[in-house]
Amino acid sequence: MQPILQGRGITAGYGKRRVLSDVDIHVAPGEVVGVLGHNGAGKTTLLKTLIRMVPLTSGEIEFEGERVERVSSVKMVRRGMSITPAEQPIFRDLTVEQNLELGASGVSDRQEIRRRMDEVVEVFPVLGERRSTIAGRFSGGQQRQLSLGIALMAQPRIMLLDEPSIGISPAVVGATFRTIRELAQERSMSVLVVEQNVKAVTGIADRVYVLRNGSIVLEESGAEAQQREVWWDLF
Amino acid sequence: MSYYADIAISILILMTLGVSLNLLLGYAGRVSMAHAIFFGIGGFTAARLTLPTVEELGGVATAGLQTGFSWHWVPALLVAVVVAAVAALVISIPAVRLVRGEYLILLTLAFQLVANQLMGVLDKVTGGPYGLSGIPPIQLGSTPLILPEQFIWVMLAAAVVAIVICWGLGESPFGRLLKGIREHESAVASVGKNPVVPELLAFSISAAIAGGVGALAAFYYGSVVPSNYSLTYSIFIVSVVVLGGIGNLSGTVVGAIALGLLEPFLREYVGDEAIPWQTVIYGAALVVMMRLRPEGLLPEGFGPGRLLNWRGRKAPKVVPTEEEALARLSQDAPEVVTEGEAEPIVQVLDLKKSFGGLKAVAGATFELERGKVTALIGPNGAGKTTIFNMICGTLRADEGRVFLRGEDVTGKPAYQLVRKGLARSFQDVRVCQRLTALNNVALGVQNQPGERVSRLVLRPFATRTAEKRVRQKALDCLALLGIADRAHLRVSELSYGDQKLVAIARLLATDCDVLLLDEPTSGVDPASVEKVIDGIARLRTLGHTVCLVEHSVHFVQRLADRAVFLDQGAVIAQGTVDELMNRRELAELYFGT
Repeated sequence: MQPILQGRGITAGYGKRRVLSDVDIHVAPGEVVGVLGHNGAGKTTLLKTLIRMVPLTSGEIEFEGERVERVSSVKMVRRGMSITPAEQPIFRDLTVEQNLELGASGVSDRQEIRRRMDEVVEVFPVLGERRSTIAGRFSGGQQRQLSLGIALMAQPRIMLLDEPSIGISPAVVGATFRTIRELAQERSMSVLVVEQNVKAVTGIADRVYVLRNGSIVLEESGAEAQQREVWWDLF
Repeated sequence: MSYYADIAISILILMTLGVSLNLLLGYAGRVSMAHAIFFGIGGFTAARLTLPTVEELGGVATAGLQTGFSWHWVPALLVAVVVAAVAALVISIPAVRLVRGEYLILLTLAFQLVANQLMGVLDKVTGGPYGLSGIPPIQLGSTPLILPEQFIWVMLAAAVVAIVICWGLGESPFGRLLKGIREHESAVASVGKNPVVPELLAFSISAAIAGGVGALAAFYYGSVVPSNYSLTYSIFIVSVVVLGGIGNLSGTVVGAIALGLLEPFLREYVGDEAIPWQTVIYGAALVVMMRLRPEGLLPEGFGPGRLLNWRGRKAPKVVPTEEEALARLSQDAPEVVTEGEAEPIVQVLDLKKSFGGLKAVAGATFELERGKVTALIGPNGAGKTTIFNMICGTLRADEGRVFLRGEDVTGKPAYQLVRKGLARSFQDVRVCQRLTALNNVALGVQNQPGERVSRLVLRPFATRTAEKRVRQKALDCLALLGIADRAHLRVSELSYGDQKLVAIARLLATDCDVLLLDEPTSGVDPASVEKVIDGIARLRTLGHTVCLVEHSVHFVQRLADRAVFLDQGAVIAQGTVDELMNRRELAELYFGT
């Protein structure tokens, strides 16, 4: 099957600082792909490069069969890609409803926005119960749910998630990741999730990559990754 | 003839002021908006000292007759220089220690305005708004130098002296230190240099020269008036430096001629009505320059400075081999530890640190063994960098102690730790981009006589010899890391990986036996990583004790003998890297459950 998103030979960085070196990555429609790696390995930069927030030094990016190296990140979102940052993924001073509306900022039809919001609330009931709560008052886990809700409002065909386990208690990590898996399945949406939490990702991913110091050092299926006992030398 | 000589004199005055300001602005990277004040302080001091006494004027001091102490011009000139230098020191002590960047501009601007007002108000000293006049001209033998075509030679000589002083200092090891501070004050402190004193010196030397020029101008014009030392003139001097090229004295010479000719040119070819437009013209010229050539007409490093090898822009004639470098460096290196007994060199006892409500480090205790490479590892947020920063004095610990060879060094500033044998590198390298690789490493060499102005002046030849040794050592350090062939290149021309190697070479040059490396491989492309790893292995060969923070476990496995495993601010385990990798509970902490 033709991948929905494909990067070939991606090299990127900030000034002289090289962060990604010759990275090849692809995601099939409906596939959940995990990118693991140590702190500073380049995981966040990879996501930002794919959604065109960080310029490429060299390499190619294809989204739904079209080259997109020169497309702006705003257009990438309109074309069906979303990104959820690791830190502060929500608008803390706005209400839940306002947060969700911002997620659909490309849509002008009020009824369509309502319809999408109802869908999101179905997935995350707590967001419906507390529509007018200021989002900053939510717990870490609820904020994470809201951040996923914001991304869903744009009805993306691929979600890029940056460390969704950050800021939530270990007890709800498993549940959050299961939700991500279910969303992907129900909507035949692709997910590219970046994590340091190996267990959480290998539990839900169809395929995983390991990024070390800017290079891919491993690609294998989620099932194989779950069997792997020793991870040290990959990090 | 006199007309042209007079114009030339005013240009030479501007040039000398520009050159002296460039020492501060270009080399030390400090913007002063008060240069005209030091020029004025010199002028008023010389005027008061050389004006005739009351007795000489007939015993009666009447209004309008201005009196002084009837000094000879030479001592008056010297005192003017000293007074300006002292005034600069008084203003720069708070400025250099407390104020940075644009605040320094504001502070000197305020000083300019206040001091200029005072010149008009303190009429007992300065003669009030109309200043002092009737200042006797310079006498050479029995000839007074009154005519412009006579005085021009004095001013020319003064300009040459100022250029020689500023160029000599700027291109000396002292100037290298200034440039280092300009780019990364923390990095200079991290290799054992006190960053405050050189800046104070630059401030006061620059002002001293301005004071001397002020005295000469007073002798030539015969009068000193507060309005001549206004903010406009200070800005004019800054414009000369910026237009010509910051950090390039030949640029200042060109800039002074260009801007100084503007007024006479307008008068000659357009007419007097064009004079008010000159401010507009040079303002516009500056704006255009900033757009087209922000480094000035002649950027730093371009010009006669290149001809002499003080600067180190030439490729080294002989690149030492790694073996030669190793042999020479081993003489200064710490004693290599023989296998066997572990001997602690750094002891960290119960360190604690909180940021607000967050406990970043909650009682960390561990040791660094002499001659070993120890890595701090742990999941994100474990407190590795916080502990690292507390050991090297960048961050103050809330509680706990750090001992170096049994001596309590908790909270000592970085430059003192280097003198005791402990130095650090930075994750973001902090090498000075506009200096050559060699000069960056030379900054790390300790006890350089050439970095002290007094030695440069009193023992110029001895400092030259010492500088040769410094450069040899710097070259050896680069050779050991395999980049001696790039010693003469500006760091900005090197790859990021090579810049990391330059930073390691700079640490090596300090002769410290304990080296702390902050994420040595981050941001380095895969090919260069191997060179960095080899380099760190070399440090161990030389007998150095190394402690590193590194996120990639893979590199830790290749680099380190021992590891300290941290989680949530506490030491969970320590031992050889293999031992730690075999413990299941550590893997669970690191990779999640």
